Amino acid sequence: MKNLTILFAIAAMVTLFSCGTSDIDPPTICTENVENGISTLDEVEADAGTTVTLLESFCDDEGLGELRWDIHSAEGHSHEGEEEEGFVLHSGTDWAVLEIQDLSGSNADGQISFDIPNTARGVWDVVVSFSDAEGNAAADVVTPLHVENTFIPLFTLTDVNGVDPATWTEEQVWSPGSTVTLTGTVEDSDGIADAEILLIRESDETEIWSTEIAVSNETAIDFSVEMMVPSDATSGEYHLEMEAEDGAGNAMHTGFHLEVE
Amino acid sequence: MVAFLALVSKNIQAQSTVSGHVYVAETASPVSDVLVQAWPCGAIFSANSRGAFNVECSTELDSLTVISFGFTAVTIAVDGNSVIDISLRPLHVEVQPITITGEVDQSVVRIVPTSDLMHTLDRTPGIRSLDLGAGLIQPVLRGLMGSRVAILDGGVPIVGGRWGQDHGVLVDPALYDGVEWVPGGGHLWLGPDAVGGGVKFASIQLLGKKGSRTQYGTNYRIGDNSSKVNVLSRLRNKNMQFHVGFSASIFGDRNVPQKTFEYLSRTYEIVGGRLPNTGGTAYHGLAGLIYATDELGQLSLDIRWSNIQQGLFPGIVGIPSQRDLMGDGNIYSVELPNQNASRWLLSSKWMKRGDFKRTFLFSLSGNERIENAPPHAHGYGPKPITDLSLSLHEYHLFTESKWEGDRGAFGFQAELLRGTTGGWEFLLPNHYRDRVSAIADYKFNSGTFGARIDMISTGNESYSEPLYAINNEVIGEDIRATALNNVTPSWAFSWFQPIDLKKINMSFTASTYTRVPSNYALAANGIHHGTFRFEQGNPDLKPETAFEVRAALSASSEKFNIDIRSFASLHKGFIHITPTASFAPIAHSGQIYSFQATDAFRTGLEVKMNLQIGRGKLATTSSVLGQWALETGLGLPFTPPVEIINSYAHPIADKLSITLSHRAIAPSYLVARNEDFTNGASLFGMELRLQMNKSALRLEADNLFNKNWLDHISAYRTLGLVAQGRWVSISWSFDLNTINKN
Repeated sequence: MKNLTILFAIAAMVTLFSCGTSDIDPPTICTENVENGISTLDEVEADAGTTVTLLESFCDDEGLGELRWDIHSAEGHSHEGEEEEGFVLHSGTDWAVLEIQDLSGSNADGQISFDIPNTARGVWDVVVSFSDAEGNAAADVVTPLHVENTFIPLFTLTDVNGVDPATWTEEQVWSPGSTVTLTGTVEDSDGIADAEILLIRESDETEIWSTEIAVSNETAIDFSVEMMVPSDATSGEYHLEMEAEDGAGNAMHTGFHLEVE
Repeated sequence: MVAFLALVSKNIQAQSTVSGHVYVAETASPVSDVLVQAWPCGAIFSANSRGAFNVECSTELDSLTVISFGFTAVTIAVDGNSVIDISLRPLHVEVQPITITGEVDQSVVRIVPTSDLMHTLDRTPGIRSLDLGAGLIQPVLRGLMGSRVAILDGGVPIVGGRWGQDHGVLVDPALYDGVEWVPGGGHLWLGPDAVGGGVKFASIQLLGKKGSRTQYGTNYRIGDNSSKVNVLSRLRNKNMQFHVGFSASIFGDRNVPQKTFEYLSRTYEIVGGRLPNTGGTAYHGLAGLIYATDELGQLSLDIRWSNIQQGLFPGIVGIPSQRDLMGDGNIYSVELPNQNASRWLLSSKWMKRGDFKRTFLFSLSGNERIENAPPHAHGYGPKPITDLSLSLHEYHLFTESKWEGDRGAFGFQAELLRGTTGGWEFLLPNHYRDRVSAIADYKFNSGTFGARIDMISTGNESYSEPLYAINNEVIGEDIRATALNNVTPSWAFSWFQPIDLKKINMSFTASTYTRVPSNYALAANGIHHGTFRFEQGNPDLKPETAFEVRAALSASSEKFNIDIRSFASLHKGFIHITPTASFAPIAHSGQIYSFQATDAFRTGLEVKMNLQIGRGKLATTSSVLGQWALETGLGLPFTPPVEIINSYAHPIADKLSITLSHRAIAPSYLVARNEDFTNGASLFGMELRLQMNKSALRLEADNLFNKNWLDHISAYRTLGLVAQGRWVSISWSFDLNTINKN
């Protein structure tokens, strides 16, 4: 019994004396140290076909670790604290950038340069993740990157069944056999060569309805299309796709997700 | 509720808990070293040095068989009594040896089952469980889980991707003869991995006499709308018993009192208060026989089979879109992503009594896990063409040969594991793990010494895949795992010291042991969807060493009993997963978590008290656990916070009782690096139990006020997803026992 008491005491002493202290403070963004004042904390506006450089300054009381730039389309999700973008017709959403950089010292700059492809339009999320040498990770910093595009045709939906899509708060649910009126414009400075609207069933990527918009190389065309959701359309996930090609051969695809019930 | 109450009858007496004393009839002095077997459940309990005993059955108790060396065994009818004092008379005639099938060990704690195993585990001090859906369990013993916890199916270690926090084992307790847990590390017969201890599912035992027994149960739970039916039947003639069992359950999407959650800083909406695509089905089967003669001994053969088909919460496989979380209106449907897990086990055991009790156990099992997900590429590279994201097959052979005598036991264990993996989501290469062990324990007059020596061979194949550029051109080779072959010795030594005081039973155990790194800790390198992170093994890891002391104390009187267990453990090179400074080179995968070895200290205390107040019973259980990485002073990952459960049971009528309970979970002050602080929770529950002659009807409610709370040890907590909300369960069990006990 006495031996066991001694054993417990030794264990407690070993614990008390061998417990290290650890850096548990995550690194921070110290924007005031950025010499040229560029910060990803601000929204970024950029044009397709241009090169964008983002610069940020990071600080840690012990030592910095790694920095990751993760740039991806904002379509289909939102981030904590991010302002609601509303209804956005994205194009070229496959484009993404992922780059990891080493950071060292207690203060370091991280910089990334990337080319925005000519096919991109809409909103991208710039997610900045960074850690210190101990593995403490800061909360991700998420900044919207708004990409304007003058290369590809621009579809604008002003009215869907009498409602401005910008006021939508929920996913669209359409019924089989219903008629949906789509009103908007399609425009391009090189003239519109082709324009088409399609309803695609996502489960097997089958086109279940489509119509072509009459064009004759005008630079802007107003359209109002009545789309009949087939009465035999199965319930499930669908995608309304809008496609166009300009006089210079630049093609674009955009659209939005909906459900048929 | 009205229907339930309508079933109340005042004419039937029943009891599932009985206490009492055993004494010598002539002298009225207490009898120690007594075994009390409860019928019809067959569970065996031991009386303390003062002859006091306390027995529990999940079903109605109808009789007790009391056995003690040198005395005539007796069987006493319970007849609805809660306290029975039993007199024994010295043995004056020659009797046939009595075979007691079951194990009595002071380090083993019986788990009293309820209608739901997870619910049961969560109410056992020192144990927590992760909710992985019906038919899958992942017990957390003293803060440790996965391969650090041995789960034995009739003595056979269950494998099958045990390294995964989300990879529960496939068992249904309704098809076993009881569940026990063995707290702490260094237990010789549990194998070298069981640092947290073990959970033992007892094989179906031989009926005491010729006859039959059929147990039936059905359950419906409002909340996740789960339904279950189970039946277990055994038939014994003179020497042969056949038993067969089956259970089937279907469960819907989990109900959660939550409207939004965040994943990698994205905010999502939860529609309709349910986590979509978390429903599924579970099936378990059993067929076996036992043949017993005086000459041959007892030979048993069991075949078990389990299958789980379950949807996986969309967030478990990469970043979901909001439309992935909308659900399809059918809470039972299983969409992508999903998992299919199956297990089969063929086991045979021979046991014969003589100068030594001889036991030989042989088993072969197959474990399969298939995870399907919408094809997606991480980073650059072509999109996969199938839904098979991960497959894992593990085949396992286990044998144990054991000689047990009055003074101790010795024996050997051997096991071989072969694992193959596939699918487009690489996580772990093909691997193997073989072990041979020699084990012995000897009971001296003062205490018991035990030793185990192991030789463990672990290894894996190499694995690489093409490295792609942004244009999908192959620009090199991405080496994800290198070949590894290790042969490592391992050992465990223990000393068990009982201290029998007048009114208090105490015991101390000191053990020291090593643990060889798991295949996963050595060779993992990929996204583990079940934990929402990129996990990376370390082939340079060495065996960890631990020194652990445990103390147990119990005391009981007519109206009060207390059971206290505590432990302290020092670990040199404790292997655990921890965040690194690096980020995974794959989109949406966050930091790399790698296995590292740092010294650690763990300590804990579990207390269980029962107080009889008039006709009612007040019960309190509590558990406190601390575990630290000594080099940083931070907590180890997923350390369960302090928890106290108070309950009061009171009979409403002769056979109807009500239990009100409260579960208090403290805030998680002890957290690992980057682990979020979790607030405490206060949860209320209730149970109405109607105990009839052969059956029991139970109405249970958990989280009565539908409290929104985060379970600190759940992987879902990483996403800020709360634990299951309120559920109300109604269950009925029936036990038809025609055994002849005369």
